[in-house]
Amino acid sequence: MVKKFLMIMVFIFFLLGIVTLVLSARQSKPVIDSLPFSQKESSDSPAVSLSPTPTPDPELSAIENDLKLIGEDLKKIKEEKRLDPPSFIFSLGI
Amino acid sequence: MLKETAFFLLAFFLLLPLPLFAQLSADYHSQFLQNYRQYQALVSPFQTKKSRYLAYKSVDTQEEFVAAARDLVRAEVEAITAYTNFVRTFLAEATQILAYQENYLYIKLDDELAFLTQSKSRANSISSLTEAQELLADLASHYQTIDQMSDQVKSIVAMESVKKTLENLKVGRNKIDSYLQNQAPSARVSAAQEKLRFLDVEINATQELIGDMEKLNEKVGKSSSGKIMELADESLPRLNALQTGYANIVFSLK
Repeated sequence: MVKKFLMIMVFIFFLLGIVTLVLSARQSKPVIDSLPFSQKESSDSPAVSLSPTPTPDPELSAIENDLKLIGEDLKKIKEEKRLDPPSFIFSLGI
Repeated sequence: MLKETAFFLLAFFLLLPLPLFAQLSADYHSQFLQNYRQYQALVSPFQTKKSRYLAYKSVDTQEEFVAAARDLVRAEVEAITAYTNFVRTFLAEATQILAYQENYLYIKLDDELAFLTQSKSRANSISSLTEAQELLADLASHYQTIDQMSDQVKSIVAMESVKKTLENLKVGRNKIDSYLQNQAPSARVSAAQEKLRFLDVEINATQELIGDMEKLNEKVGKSSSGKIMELADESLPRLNALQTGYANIVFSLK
């Protein structure tokens, strides 16, 4: 009886561990539409508006945000140099 | 009971690397940069000891030169290993995000990592200039392979990134089109629709470039990778034009 109980507990902890791993993988997974290059932190800070502005169309704002992300992806493609192979010495030269 | 517990523990630890996947390539790249700096720091002492050995050809200078060569080769193996791990995990991440399969490259990179693991112990036991030279010759040959694979990874990721970016732009284009169709007719809406159609030329041109890249990707080789990169570079201004064009349309509609 005790053995069965312990086996069930081990199995439950195992499943909890797998679930924890999967959830933490999802949280650290990059955005699906974003490209696999290192992200540079944006140095632009949003301007503070002092005068009342008309409410932007949410549909247009969403499209604008998508296009902004695509622009950042394009920048990442251009700037990715990490795969450039480094040079090494392969001879003693004697 | 013990067997079942051992099984679950083993399965748990085997699955443990999975959540670390997304961060590994950045880690390996940092490690590579660190290892490469350590390797570079050993080049000058190596050259100095070589000059002394060539000048005097004594037992002492030979011993010093062998030690310097051993240190250099050891650091070189570490740096190449970190670089290869970076290329491998970069490919894995890109595969996950861009959704394509390149098992052939994984297997080849794993083979190279196995060779590099063996090279570590060979480097540690270098006791003569001949051994050092032989290991360097082997490293040169394998690094050429790693270099080719890195070029292939770069060209594949560039090609798939262009494809993905174009798909994302097409989605953006369709959203703008749907938005315009729901607006009351006006000169501004007509101008925006005309601009959308005008930009379709860039979509078609980029699609052709992607087709050419895919055909080249079926051939394996350094020249194919180079040509794919050229075509990817050619696609970028077109993708930029599309992104800027659509952003301008959206701005004009606000």
